[in-house]
Amino acid sequence: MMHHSVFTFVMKVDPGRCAQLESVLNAIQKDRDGNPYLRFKELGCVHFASFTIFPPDDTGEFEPCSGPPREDRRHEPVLVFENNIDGPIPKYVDLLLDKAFDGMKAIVMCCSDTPATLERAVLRKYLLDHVVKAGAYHIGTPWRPVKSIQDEARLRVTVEAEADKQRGGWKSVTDAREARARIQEVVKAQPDLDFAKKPERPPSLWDKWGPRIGPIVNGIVALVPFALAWAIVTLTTERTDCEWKGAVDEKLLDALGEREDKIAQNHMCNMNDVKSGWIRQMTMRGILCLANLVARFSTSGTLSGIPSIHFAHWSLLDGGKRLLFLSNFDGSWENYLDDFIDKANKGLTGIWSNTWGFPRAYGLLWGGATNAERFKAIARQKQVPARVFFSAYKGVTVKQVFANAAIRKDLYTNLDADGARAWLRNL
Amino acid sequence: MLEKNRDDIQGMIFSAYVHLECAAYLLLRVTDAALARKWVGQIANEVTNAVKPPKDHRPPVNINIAFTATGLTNLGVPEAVVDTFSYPFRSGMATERRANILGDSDANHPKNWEWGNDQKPVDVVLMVFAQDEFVLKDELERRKSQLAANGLAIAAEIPIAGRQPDSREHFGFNDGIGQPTIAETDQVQRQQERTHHATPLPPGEVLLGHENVYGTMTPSVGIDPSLDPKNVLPPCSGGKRDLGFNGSYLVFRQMEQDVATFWNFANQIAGGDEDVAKLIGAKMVGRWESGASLALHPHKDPNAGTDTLDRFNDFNYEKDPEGYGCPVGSHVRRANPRDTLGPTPDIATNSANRHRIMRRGRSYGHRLEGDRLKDDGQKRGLHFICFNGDIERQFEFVQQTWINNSNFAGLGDEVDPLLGDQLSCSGIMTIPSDPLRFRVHNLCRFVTIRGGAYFFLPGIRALRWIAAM
Repeated sequence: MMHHSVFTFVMKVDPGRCAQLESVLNAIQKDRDGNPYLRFKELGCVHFASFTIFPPDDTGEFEPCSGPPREDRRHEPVLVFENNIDGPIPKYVDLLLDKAFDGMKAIVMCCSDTPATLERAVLRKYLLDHVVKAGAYHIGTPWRPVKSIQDEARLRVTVEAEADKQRGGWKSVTDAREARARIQEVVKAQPDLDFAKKPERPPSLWDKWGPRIGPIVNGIVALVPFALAWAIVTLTTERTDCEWKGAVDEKLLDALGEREDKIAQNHMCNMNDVKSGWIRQMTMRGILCLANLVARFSTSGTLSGIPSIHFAHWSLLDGGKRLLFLSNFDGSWENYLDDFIDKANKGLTGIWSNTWGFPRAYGLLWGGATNAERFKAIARQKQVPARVFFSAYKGVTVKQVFANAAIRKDLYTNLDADGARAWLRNL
Repeated sequence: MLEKNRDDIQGMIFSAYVHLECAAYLLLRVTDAALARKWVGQIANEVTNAVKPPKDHRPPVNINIAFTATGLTNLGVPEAVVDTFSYPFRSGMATERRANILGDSDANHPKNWEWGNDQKPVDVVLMVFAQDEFVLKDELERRKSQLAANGLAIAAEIPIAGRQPDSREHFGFNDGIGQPTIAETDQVQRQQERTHHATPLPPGEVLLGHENVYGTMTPSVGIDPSLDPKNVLPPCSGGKRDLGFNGSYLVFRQMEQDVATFWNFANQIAGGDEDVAKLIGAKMVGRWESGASLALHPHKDPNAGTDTLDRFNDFNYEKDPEGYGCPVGSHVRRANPRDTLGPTPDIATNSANRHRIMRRGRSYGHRLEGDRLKDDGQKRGLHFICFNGDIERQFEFVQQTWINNSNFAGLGDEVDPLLGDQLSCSGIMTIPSDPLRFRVHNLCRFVTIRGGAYFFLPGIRALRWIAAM
């Protein structure tokens, strides 16, 4: 049992030091386990992490519906350092400084507000000051520590190998309990699988409900202003808001394509401009509160029927002017987006129709993402390839995390014949 | 709406021309743009459209034509127009990115292809369908003799798709059963009669510029009206003219099949027991050789040894969620997971139908006669052809997210046993059984990609526009 933290460090990059920063990040990406700067694997508590540099003025190249890009859309280059980790944030910052002090220094050195001295205490404060917590987040594998997920994946390999031995030929085994007993013996004989002898502590009622209290309160507080803003948006600006009709930049497609589909998971990082005006601010903030509330109750691996998200979150930057989305999901981008469209389009539209260029929504939640073509186009156009993408378990999908946990949970339980057959179905 | 477009739509989108039992695919290069355009103009007059001829007046030969992106460019279509086509079509099938999506690595990597790659690019495919071998031969000779004078040359010779004894592919399995149909056409009823089941899809799943499964228009190819001074093309939104309307993207992959290796592999697992070998073959495919689904007939082929073809297609996997009958990782269950990919069967079916393709492939080479464990050294395979309105969402999705996804539907470390990217005979396939699953190890490639390309099959007005440019 472990509580997770889902957050980013968001830092403004000194434009003069962009190249320097890029070279640091490229070195990390090139050899994620061995580079001299930051080795996530050694931290032991990181599920997924990424670094993304958002180029300056990224809407400048965009054709807005009319006129030049708004001045307030211009901004300095920004570094987003995404973390999906076990445990609380301050402890993680300490760990970063213990294990990767020079690396963090090298990164912070490239920021526009770098402190004059970079002693440990100063750097610690700097990092904590630049934490941006998720406005809404989803965890597909809640309460599962990195180590357990990795251990259980190893356990499966051993169990599957023994099952292969028992079914070396086409002829079937007949006794489920005996098959299980032999698997148990093999696992027992392997000291590195001793962890399986003890079940992991399941989350208590407090573990489950504690993280829900805040979102419930926020949801209640947000409801009335949100409903008001929702009504206004529906009746007014929604019908005339700009819809982006352009074609996705092909260089961007190539850059994303080069990085995608290397491991079981893919990464998505999007920055969208929130539509201007306080009403949109209210619908945006309100819908994030509600999405966060829904996600707090989606603890069995799926979010709105989407079974492939490990960690995803939204947060508002620049005082709400921009919406950041980060996701670590299983399988292809096309599949992920199609799941959005078929299974979660209302929630998605509710959030992203508050941002510039999204396909026409009706009543905030309808339309929008159901225009699959234009939804995919703007989702791609607003995506930025991560400079660094780290996964602690490159071959393990959300579904497999659950299946592997089921193997471990009842490995040594006393089961009758039906129970044994049900257990063997996990293979 | 669709009916009145029949004279503008190339016929092979609506019909597999099963009455024309022989076919050939001429892969061409453009050597002289002006001459070749003139030739395209003649083809536009001869090309088979989708108007149904009376049954006793069907011509002995049908002709259809499609172009790659380089083909359009080499015919002189302006860059700005070619740029309006979809990205995968323009980039072509042979790029590294496409190879990654399609799972074309190793022996299947485009650099090893016999055509369709940078070494042997293709501009045009002229598809000739004939009622018999002799008509096909005459037709091909005539067509080939006219190429040079028309600014064209053969890009690569590929085997003709000759007459086959029945509708089975070379491994021996009845093929082409799970085919979608275009709503509001007679396809729906024909499919219903043939397989007792039809999945009607909106025309935009196949035809550009028509409504698709999302209720929006499949992106077409809008061009500046100044490029169409004679008003050959129909108008489309934004004051443009529609070059894509009634056209389709055609995916072509030449897949060589190693029949003896496939059955030897099954036979080896079966320990020489012929019935078990047939079962293992069927487990890999997901259907019995007759075409009957393992989800309905888990224990034996209801039509084994008879000529009866079980074309029953009215099923889903509701009663076989674990895959004890039809394995979750079998070829047909991956290629169309039907109602299985949750959260409810209805939502799953709806989602799966966003990724259907209209298959029009034909086998080439002779069936391996006699003992199918003994290779006869002959080349055989499938000219896989399919139509779709959106290559990324349909063909590439099926290939990437279902066929070649090692984590498909909760599985791990295994890809499609027939078409998957099996690296150096190390493939795995899980065959669920009670109480303990069986895993096939050391799966090799039974299918090798010999070439491939993305084509655009234009509507007939669009053909005229290309010719008149």
